[in-house]
Amino acid sequence: MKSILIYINGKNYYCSPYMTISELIKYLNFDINLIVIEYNKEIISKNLWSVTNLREGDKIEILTLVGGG
Amino acid sequence: MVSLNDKYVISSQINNDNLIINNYSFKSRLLVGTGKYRNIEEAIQSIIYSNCNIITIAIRRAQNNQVSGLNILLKRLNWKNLWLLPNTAGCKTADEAIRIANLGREIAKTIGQENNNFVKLEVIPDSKYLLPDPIGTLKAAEVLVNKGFTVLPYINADPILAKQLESIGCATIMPLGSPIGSGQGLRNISNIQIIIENAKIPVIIDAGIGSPSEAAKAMELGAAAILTNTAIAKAKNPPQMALAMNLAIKSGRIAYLSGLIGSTKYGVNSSPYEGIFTNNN
Repeated sequence: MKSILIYINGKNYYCSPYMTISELIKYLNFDINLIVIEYNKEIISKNLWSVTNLREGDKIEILTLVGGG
Repeated sequence: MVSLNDKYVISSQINNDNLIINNYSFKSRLLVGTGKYRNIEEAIQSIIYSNCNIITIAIRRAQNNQVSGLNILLKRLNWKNLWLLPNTAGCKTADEAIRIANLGREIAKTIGQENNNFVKLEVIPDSKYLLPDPIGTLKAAEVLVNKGFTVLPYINADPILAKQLESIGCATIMPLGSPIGSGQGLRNISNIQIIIENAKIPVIIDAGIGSPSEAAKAMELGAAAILTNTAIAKAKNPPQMALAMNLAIKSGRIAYLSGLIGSTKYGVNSSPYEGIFTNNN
């Protein structure tokens, strides 16, 4: 199966086509509880992660909270 | 035995003196930043000793395969009394700040604060003094207020800008005392006084506070609250400094409510003239 090119946090990444966002997060070992995701510039709510399949060229930002003033 | 007279120390005034931001009520007038602590334990203890109800956080790209320090901190805090205030630190333009504000609101949901639409709005293109862009701030504030955010805009102490932000619906005004993290204290007291005089919404002094006495001074001037991070996090003993900040802000607030004496040019005797007994009378 040909892998697809997506962008995660600004970096190139190759993954299996039709992988869901949930699967990607799990695979990359992110803490699913404290992240939010921007999918192609739109915030995608957590309940849609398991039903959204990645496609060529998708841009994903995985964000979390950090200490700040 | 003399007992405390309720006529003078008006408990109801002091004990029901909550900070109200957009109909949300907070007991503490100290807001605390979560950055720059040496370690998680110091951050947690500082937040506890501060007795604050609002803490700020920043939004950044996540790193994988590590449980971040903040995650630990968040799990160990008592969220019954804490309200998250996401900031837009790092944003140089209005558009960036709007984007991060939306992410901040989403982040608040992940920690169970579904109705938390608060944002500390920072639009800072200046990497040297970290001064905020007034025009970008006003633009972003207008968009965010219209999208239903409770906007707490961080600004230089500009009385006209403060009034403009109030008129477009911001929930507070947050003028800086001096540059972020500088510890220079209140460098623009006259402008802060004008802002406080003109504002119908809470004025929260944010940035540059270096010591509890400066925080107390700001409260004595009539500020509604203080937001500080570095003054606590970079102290030798941050949790103890947080306690000092807590006490100073309570003190400054009660002093403000008690009516300060003001100052005179000349001395005024504290002991009476009548009955003076000297070698010459």
